[in-house]
Amino acid sequence: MTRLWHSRPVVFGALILAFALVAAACGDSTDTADDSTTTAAPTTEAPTTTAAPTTAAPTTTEAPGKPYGGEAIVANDQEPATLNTFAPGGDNSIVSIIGQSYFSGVQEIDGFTLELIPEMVTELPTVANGGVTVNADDTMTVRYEIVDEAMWSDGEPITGEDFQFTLDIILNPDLPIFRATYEDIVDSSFTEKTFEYTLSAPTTQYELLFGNIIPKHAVEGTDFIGDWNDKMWPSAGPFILDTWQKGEFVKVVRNDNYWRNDPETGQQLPYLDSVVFRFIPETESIINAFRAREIDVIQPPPSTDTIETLQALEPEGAVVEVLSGPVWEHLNFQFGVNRLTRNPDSPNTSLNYRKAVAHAVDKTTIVDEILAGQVEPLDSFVDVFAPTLSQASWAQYNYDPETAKSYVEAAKADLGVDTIKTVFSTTSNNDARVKLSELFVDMFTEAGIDYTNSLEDSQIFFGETLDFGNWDLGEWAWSSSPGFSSLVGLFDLFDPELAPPDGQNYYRWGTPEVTGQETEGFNQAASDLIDENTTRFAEIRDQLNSSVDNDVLIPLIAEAETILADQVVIIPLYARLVTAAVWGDEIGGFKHNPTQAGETWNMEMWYRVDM
Amino acid sequence: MLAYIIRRLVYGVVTLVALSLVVFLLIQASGGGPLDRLKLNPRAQNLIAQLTEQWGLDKPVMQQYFTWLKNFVTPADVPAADGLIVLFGKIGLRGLTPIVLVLSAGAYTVWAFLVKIGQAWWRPVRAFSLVFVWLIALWLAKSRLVFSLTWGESFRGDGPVWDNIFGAAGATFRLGLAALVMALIIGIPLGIYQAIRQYSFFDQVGTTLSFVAFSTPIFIIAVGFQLLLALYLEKWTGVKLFFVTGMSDSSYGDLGFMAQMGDIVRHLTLPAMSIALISIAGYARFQRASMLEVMHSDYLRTAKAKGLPRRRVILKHALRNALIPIVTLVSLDVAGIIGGAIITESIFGWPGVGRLYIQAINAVDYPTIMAVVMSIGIGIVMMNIVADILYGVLDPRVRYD
Repeated sequence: MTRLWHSRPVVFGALILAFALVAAACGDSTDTADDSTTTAAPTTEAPTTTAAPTTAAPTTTEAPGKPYGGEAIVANDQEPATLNTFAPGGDNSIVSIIGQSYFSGVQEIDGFTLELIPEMVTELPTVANGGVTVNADDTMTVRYEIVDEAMWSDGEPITGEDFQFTLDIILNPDLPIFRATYEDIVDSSFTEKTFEYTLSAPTTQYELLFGNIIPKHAVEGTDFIGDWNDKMWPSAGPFILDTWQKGEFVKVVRNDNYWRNDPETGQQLPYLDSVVFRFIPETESIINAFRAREIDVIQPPPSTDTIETLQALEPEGAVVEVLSGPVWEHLNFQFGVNRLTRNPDSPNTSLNYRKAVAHAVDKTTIVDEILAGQVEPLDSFVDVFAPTLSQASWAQYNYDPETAKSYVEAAKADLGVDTIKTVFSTTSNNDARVKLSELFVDMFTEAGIDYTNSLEDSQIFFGETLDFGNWDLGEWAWSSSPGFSSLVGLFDLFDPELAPPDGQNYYRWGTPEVTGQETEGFNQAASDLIDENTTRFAEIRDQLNSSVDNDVLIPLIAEAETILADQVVIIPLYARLVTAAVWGDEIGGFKHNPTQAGETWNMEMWYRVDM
Repeated sequence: MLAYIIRRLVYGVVTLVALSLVVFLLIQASGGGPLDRLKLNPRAQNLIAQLTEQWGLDKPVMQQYFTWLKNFVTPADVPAADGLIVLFGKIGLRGLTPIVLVLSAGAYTVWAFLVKIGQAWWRPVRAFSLVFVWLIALWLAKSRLVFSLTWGESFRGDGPVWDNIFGAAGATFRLGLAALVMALIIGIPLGIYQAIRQYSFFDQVGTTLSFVAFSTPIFIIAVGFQLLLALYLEKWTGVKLFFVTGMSDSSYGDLGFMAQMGDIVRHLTLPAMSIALISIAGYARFQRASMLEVMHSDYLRTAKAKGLPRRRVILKHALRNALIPIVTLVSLDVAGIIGGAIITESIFGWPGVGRLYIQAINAVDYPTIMAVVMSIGIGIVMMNIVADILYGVLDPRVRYD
């Protein structure tokens, strides 16, 4: 051993290693990027008809110019399995967050107004602007006008043919692609800068179609699923995929052919040279990396501890935004007979019992305990989709244990029982839901309800329990999007004709008896609750799915919300928080977007403050 | 010896088949499926039906198992080539090469140093053979000439499982090897010194710290290192020595050689130390006990009575024999690298097999889960056989019946 350490090569090797360590430590490796790129303006040839290119633009506007160059590092706890958002495994939030770099389509969600805004088209089509037409044969035609300047990163123009190619890819029966509403398209046509398609019936679902467009000239003739997992076709966004170091990071670099300019300064976008998306599975490590300034932007999984930790960094320059997100938690009642396997004495058919639960649940305490009071409890799920349309229909059920008790007594009389028993099921591997189940113990007991928790791992809860309706009182979340389509889609969840396994009416509210189902364990009996309300709701749902006229949709949505609230089919609790933090003394132009668009929705506007 | 090895290999195959069946059935029984995330989308029924058929999820469980087994053992199409590719490609030896060859070279190195051959020619032969073996091993490993399987397609949508696992194996191997080297360099001398200074202050402190390190959960050690050596050290000194997460800088490819070396060390140190700390404690305790046992043996007492210098008694007579049990421990540790790195890789954002395993579990990606479990199983079976063989080489009293 002694001789080993006296040997010159070993000592020399150790010295080299030590020198490398010290040398690397003394110089920030992120600063080693080519300095020449930090001041280089994007190509002056890129934009065609709009504002002057970067090199000249700042002199023509009054707003101060923002610096070009530099890099931003974004952390996420997920890593995509594939970058192809159309492929299986590509339909998730991290693909969307990274995809803001290079995907582009008809619409995007504005982080300031949380409304849909046009991206690649001149305006979003509506009945009012003539972009949507309901035809005499009860079909519906939608027309897009593509922005003249829109082009791919290789300089090819984005055309109507690319839209048609995208549709052809999606409808290719050999490809395992999420099709849904696209399958209702019966006709389509295109010109150089327009695309038009006809749906078999009027539907609000058109709002979210063609969110990503595929370049025909680059993708045609390739294996769409096999060839585009870890590489990307020419970009239509502000950046281009540069590197995917599996398990570590994705790096995107500036698209010099991006056609959009900063409306404030007139400068060509984007400002940054590159953005790196680092994948760090542990929230604790994400926070530590952010604190160590290895990361510039984070959107960690929400928890009150995380928020408090991040807010403590604000004096050092961190900017923390805590907003209500699109995911909303709610309490549900099961009306199918399989609930009796969980609770043989299930009282769910009694409206008085359901009202008792609505009055027994103290939403304010729930929000205080789980979200540190950072959001208001929900009086209606419509608040999450379109606050201006909300009737706040659940506000009638204020927290009142005495009223709850009186409803419990009425429920006992309804059902002819001495005790009202509730068995509550939700996922056991979600801290917020476990906390909720603990809070419910006191709330339900105070209302005179014999309460039991029966929590399960999320794989079992969502994989089996929910499908088969083997739950009594349940709790989980739905996700929403801005616009009518997502709201109408929510009402589809209560479609009485489509209970699991074919449909999503997990509540089996108003579901008639079904036959022909061969899935073992599937409940074929009729729902225990079918009445005039379920019948009327089914009619409303059909009407919502056959109209795009706001004057028709708005009153129907209001009536549907009222029925769900008056009949206490579900009880909305709260919208989950979405937290984002950025080092404000390093990155400018950041605006958090709590929707599925994610924190990178306007990454083309980000710039280095410290340059 | 040959009969013994063949017998052990047959037992090993039976063990692995049983392991695969039990794990597969456990996954099936655990509830949930790879398409559950789609089920919550009210408009995804057609896609669910298409993928269910494509992945065979509608088939009986045993049929799914045999489909998986077939995918697991069937070699992939190997591009036409000459030499070793043709020779080994048929039996599927391709991507495993880096690990198998480096482990083999490592085992040969250990053997070459420990085996006692009295003739004068042995020392130069040993030196040249070591250099030769390592050069060949590294060249073959780099050229990835052998093994080519697919192990089926991942349900996450990221291609053949084989590519994913061996894409990640290099990172895990780098981390595990660094941790192992740290543990050996620190743990064994520590144990020896504690044994020589038995019941001294150093021994007492070392024993206490070993127990503390051994009983502390690795996530506490890892997060502690992140905070102390990455976050606060920089705040206190103004110099950023180590990174909290990741394996390399995003501009790694643009760095010079020295900067690349520094980048590797700065990213590798904390996760490797986290894993090594527990192994250091284990090796030190084990080595101390082994050394004490040898030092109290009759032949050592005889050596001391003959008047041999203390250093020679310890290094030549005690240490060699006390190292033998460590071989078994290290052999099993090598196989356990993947398993032991699961938590560490997640905490440090290290792109290894452990992290892939967690991603696969979250996505109920059966093919990847099975492949990782089987990789660990194969490693443990193989290293057990290697350890048993080495035991016989090192200790002439061991016979293979």
